[in-house]
Amino acid sequence: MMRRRFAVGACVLVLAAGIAFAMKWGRPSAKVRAERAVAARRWTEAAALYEQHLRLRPADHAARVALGALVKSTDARRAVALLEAVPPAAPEYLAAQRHIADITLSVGDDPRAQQALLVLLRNAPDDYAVRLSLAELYYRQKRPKEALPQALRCAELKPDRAQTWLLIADIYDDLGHPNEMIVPLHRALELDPQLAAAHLNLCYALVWSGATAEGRQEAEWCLARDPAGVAARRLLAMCERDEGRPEEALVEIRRALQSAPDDLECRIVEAQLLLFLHRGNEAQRRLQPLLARHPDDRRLQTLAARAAAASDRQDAAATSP
Amino acid sequence: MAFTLQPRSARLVSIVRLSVVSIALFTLMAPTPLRSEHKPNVKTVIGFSDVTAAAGIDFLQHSPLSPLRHIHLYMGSGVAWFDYDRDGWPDLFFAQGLAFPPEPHGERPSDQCFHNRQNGKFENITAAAGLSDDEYTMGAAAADYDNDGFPDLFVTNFGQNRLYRNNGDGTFAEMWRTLGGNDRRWSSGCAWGDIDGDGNLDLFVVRYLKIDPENYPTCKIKEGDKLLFVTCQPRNMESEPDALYRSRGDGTFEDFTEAGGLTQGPARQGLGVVAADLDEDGDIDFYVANDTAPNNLWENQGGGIFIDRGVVSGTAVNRLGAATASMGLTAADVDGNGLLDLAVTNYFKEANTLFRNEGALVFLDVAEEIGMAAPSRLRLGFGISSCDPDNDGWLDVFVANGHVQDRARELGRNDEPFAQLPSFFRNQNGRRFQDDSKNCGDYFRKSWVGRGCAVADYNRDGLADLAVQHLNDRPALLQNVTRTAGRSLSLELIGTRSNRDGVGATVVVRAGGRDLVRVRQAGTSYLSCDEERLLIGLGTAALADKITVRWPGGKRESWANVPADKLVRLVEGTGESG
Repeated sequence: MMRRRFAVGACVLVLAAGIAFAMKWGRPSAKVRAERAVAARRWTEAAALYEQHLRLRPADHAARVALGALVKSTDARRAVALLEAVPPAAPEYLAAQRHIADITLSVGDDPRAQQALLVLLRNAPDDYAVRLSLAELYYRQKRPKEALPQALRCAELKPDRAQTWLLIADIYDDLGHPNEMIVPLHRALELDPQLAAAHLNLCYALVWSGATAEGRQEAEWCLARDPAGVAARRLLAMCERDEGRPEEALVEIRRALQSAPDDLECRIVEAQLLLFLHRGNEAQRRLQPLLARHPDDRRLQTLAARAAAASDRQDAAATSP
Repeated sequence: MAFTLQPRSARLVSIVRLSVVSIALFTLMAPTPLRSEHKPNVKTVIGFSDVTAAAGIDFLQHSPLSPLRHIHLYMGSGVAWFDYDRDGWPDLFFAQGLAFPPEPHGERPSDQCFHNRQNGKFENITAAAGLSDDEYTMGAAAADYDNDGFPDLFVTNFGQNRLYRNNGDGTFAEMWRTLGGNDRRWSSGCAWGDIDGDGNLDLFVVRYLKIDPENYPTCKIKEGDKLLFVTCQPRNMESEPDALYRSRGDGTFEDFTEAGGLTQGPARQGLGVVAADLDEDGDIDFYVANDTAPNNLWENQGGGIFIDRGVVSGTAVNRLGAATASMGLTAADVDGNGLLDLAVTNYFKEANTLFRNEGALVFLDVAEEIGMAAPSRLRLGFGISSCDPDNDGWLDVFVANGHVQDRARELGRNDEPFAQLPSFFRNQNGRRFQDDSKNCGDYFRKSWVGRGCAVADYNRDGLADLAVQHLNDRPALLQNVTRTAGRSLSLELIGTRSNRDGVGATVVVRAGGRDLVRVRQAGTSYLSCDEERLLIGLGTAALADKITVRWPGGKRESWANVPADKLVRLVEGTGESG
């Protein structure tokens, strides 16, 4: 009797062990299945499996990071929440921060992105991607003073990327130093001679700095490729103006206005030229509708006042005996 | 301010002194050759030679930059040409700075006055002349305020101003304190002009910032881990109102600021000032360069009552509608249309402004179109002088440049040097200016922290020379060595009903088919003053067909067929009327 009982107990034990074995090792775990689903690009299934796994193993930060990465394109907020739960001590912390930076940059949550990028930068000061992201973020936030050192370091780390030099030039412009755009833009053009944005910005910087001959060359390069380019045409007009040919400048600015009749910058240059050429009536006629559209533009207000005064004098001269 | 002084017969003294210095009441002097050789003015290369050391000028402007970067130490000083002894040769006055706080036991440097010895050399006569001043001096303007035939000198200080009355014997007597002018508000530019047409010169004094030396405001910027003291932004500081002093005709002045209408607007931090009849109505107007605030154009309504026409005239702000950091200015007819234009120096990246006079007190900023903006955009201009070094009849423009931030590099502004190259804008027949700086001599190839500048023909060779002040540095006496300059005419105005020096008179010289308009001013540029005589380039013309003088008050007189290359003294009342 005792022997039979023992045998039954042993059988139950073996069965239970077998069941347990089957449960544990016999079928792949949720995490494993999730990983397989990822490999098979079955994203929804993978996410569900990671969720399942994390319910059992909430401290599995690798799974958390993986799940965050999976859902970031469909549910950014959930992804950030998942990733933020990865503690700084975890080996996956930096990976989580990288994903957070990526997510928050893409949804425009700049403060959170900056926080994550700074964490990453502290751990890897020469991480080019992080530096560049930070530089672009600061530039986008109109914080050029902070953007500049990041962008300059990027250029040191990877000097053969033309776009970085373009960014540096843009930052200098935001800093109010258009003349300092010239060197990085020349660098960008050495790397990519056909980079149209660099040619146009270089033209702007040269004209601003008084190097009108070189500025003209750049404007002509841009116009050869895009004859309807308004900005290049306006800069060419400014070259003419600065070199003492106001009539020719007027011709150029009007060609620009044919392409973009409402371009405010072109209209301002046109009005300035008309006033210089003692054509106050005409300037006033052209400024009136513009001022109605942009009543708070200080440049327009100044011009309109000058045009009104010049127009009065023209009228007085016309009616005087 | 009620000034009191023993009345004296200024006019009687004037006649006596005139005879002493052999200025007889005739119109034209015997011909005094100015130059022996003249060639046609074709592609003249304008050149200046720095002859400071050779001339014996050993002045050193002293304005040591303090650790706390006190702002007045950066403003520097001006320079004034004036023929104090009436020997016919302009002498040179340099305004001097001072350490802050002053060295407790050190010797205080003084303004310095150098006598022109007529041989290219100058002699320091400061102490003997009684012109020692131990305050931080900003500017100076010379004019014969008491009509005694000898030019007097007003000196503005970061502290107590000075009025030096010329005793006519080579010495001066300080009068301002005696006259009751005892306030110590920070004054900057000053200019003389007869505001009410009574024949007596009145005085406009520009004031800058309200600073209590005992409680001096300083500014610091956090740059990285460092905390840097930098010069404060004037726009964030309190300003002092300008002042107008009207002469009572007896050597005393009354404070006419409020009565003259100058308190109608807020006080603004001013620097340069010019006095000229800008609307051609026969009386003197004032144009004031304000630092980071709209400029004032004080139009004289008659009788010395002023109204600010800065905004309506278009001279308050630049073409972008921005109030610039205006420093120095000059009023001159640069386009040859007979109307006085206004050129203003501004802050780094603002570019200079040139307000073209359109008539009826309307101005248009045409700096871009006439070629002055782009070359000046990467400069910070202070002194500005209009002159005609090649005597082609077109007024060129010299600008002394230099920054006010010596720590720009530490602040990441690598492109903003403290010392900067000077600028020389050459007038292209009134159409536009060409930046000709690099061709004008070695001085123009070196960077300086330029401040005041002024014009004179100091060696009487018929060519306009320049004196330039630099911050914490020696000044520069720039002798004009242009070789193929045109002919010129030197005019000295002597008022009889008007003020003795003819200050404020407008001269129109018809020569070579053109009308050349020049103005006798006493106070211009940045804290500086040109010499009394007007040197007028005639190009190749051998004579001036007609010289018309519109004296202060509007009376016109003319003189015909005046040969070139001469000094001509035009005495009021001796020309043809009208």
